[in-house]
Amino acid sequence: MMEKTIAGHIDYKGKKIGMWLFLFTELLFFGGMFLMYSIFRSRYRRNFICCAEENLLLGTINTVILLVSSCAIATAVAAVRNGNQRLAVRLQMVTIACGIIFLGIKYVEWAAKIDVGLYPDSAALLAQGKGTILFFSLYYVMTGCMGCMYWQESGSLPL
Amino acid sequence: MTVQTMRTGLPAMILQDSKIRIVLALCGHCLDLSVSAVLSHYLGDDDVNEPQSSSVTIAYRPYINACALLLVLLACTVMVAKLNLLAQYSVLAALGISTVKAGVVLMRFMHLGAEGRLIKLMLVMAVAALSAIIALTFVDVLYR
Repeated sequence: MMEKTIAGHIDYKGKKIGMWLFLFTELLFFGGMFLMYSIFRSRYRRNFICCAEENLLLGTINTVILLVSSCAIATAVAAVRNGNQRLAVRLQMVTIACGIIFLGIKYVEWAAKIDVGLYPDSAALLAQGKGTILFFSLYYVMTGCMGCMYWQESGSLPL
Repeated sequence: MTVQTMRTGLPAMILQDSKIRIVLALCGHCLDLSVSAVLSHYLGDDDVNEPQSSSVTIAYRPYINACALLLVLLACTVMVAKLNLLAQYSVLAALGISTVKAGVVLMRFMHLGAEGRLIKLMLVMAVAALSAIIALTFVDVLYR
């Protein structure tokens, strides 16, 4: 978004501060969630470790995708500055593709759990111990927020 | 600050290195008012209001290298989690590796080093706030 003011002035500084502020709010938002996760993990250690191990492979693949997409968008910014528009567009498309793959993997992960009745407030989950219920509640909230954020950020790329 | 400004105590516009700085004079007694002195240097050299428009080509290699380093660090995190190499220190090791990863992303991908002091101060404040929340919550949970 490069809308100009009447005088033709673009407030790069304001835009930059706004972007950083947004990132800091994300840090505090997800930081709070990780804090909650770590407290319950320390309290129900055994349940959390068992449940988390199921997701290790898909979680690792998704992290690789996140890192590759970060690299692609950072390189796209460099390409814009170098005046290489074609490379910039391609790299942004890589980022969007990574976003779609990320959400696809999340779909597979969630579908596998929902299939066996493990979703918030389900009878199968409520029959489990307190630690398992807490793990899956946090799992759905945290990965859901992450997925929404990724969807929104990939969708807001200027291309 | 010019001599005349010192005498009158009025806000002065000082032209220096083709940059205009607004400086409120310190000698507020001339106005019979207590004028607070705002000697901001945010319009100084470190806060450029435009993106870099130099003709120097930015290399893509450092981004690839940073990505490779992040993938290696991710492999370390997975190994620590999977093989339980460090036993009771596994959480501490995971947190340490994550901190290094965050540092690499901030410095290499987000160019934090090239930002002005304001952004760095904002980061410090955000991290300090988060650290305070974490520390206070853990103290509360452990000694309740």
